[in-house]
Amino acid sequence: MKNPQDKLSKLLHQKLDNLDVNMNTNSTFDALQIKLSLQKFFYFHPRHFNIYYATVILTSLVVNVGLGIQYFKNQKAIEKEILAMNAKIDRQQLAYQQLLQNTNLSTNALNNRVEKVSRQKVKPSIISKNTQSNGVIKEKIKIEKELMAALQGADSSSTKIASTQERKAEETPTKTLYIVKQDTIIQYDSIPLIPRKARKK
Amino acid sequence: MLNEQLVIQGCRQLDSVAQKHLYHHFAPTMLRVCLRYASSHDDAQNIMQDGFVKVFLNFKRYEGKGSLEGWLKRIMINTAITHYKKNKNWNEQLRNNNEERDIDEIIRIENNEDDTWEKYLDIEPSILLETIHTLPSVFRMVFNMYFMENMKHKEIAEILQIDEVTSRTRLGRARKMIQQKIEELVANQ
Repeated sequence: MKNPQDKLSKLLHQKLDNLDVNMNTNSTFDALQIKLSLQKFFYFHPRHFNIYYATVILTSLVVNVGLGIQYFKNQKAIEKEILAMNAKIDRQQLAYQQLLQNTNLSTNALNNRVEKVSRQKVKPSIISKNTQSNGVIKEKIKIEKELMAALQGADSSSTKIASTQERKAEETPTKTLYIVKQDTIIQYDSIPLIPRKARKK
Repeated sequence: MLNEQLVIQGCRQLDSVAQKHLYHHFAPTMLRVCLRYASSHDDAQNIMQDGFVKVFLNFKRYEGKGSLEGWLKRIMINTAITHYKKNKNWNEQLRNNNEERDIDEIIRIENNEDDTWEKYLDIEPSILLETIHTLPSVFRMVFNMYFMENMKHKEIAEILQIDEVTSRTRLGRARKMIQQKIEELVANQ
């Protein structure tokens, strides 16, 4: 007995292999060519060792690895530089803060001293209505001298005066002149201090 | 074909004239093959075009040992199977998982299979093809592979990644469906 698979298979082949198919092979071939050209562009399946492909792949691999190494090196160098700069900035900030603190301390100390002296010496009772003007001026000059001495002492601890103008000012010390009016209004101005002997002359 | 060896050589060198010649000569035959596996004429043309693209790109693999037509047919069938696997829809897959495996039914169909096949002799090839097209793709594939390519259930199961019993069940169902369709057509005539 013949295999039923073979029997039906033969029958179906007889029927379907002689089927009429209407197709325009020219137009379908044009469509196929477009598809083929696209596929060709992306097609890469080398089955045998090809020196050309091997060279291209190896070169691109070497270039990529080289670029990668270079990139990481650059990144490390940049990181190092940034760290160094940050450390420098930190040091500078610390030094600046210390300087500022020292300056504040010396300024405060000077201010305190000036305030102390002025409180001690300039008493409202001295400049009163009933006091004689000559006596007041003498007293004022005395206070002023003490004040100047205190100020000069404070100045010596601070920065030195470099300019010639300032030196001149030091050489010719000034005194504060107090003008006393009816009430206790004090107006002062700095005038050069002249020795007593020179003034008498 | 004018000179098969010249055409083969031209196709190996990706010569478009040789390719055109090969296409004109084999396209109708290959379309017939694809029509059996596809669900429509357009679908068959797509499969055939994909198949010819594969043929032209891999022509170097043809060693000239077997017939060129046989090699081309093999590529077309493989392309059709790939196409089926790619486009297998989810509903069909679900149905496959819940497929009944009535062994008794299969044995009954296989034993009485040649009682109705005589009816096919009178039918028009185009109607037969239409009947095959009406089958769900899972059944059509097994039917074609079994009857048109003379494959065994074991081979079919391996290619379609199913088990042998499923392949048998599908074939039985496909035959039953075709018989019913043909009986309907005969009754209407």
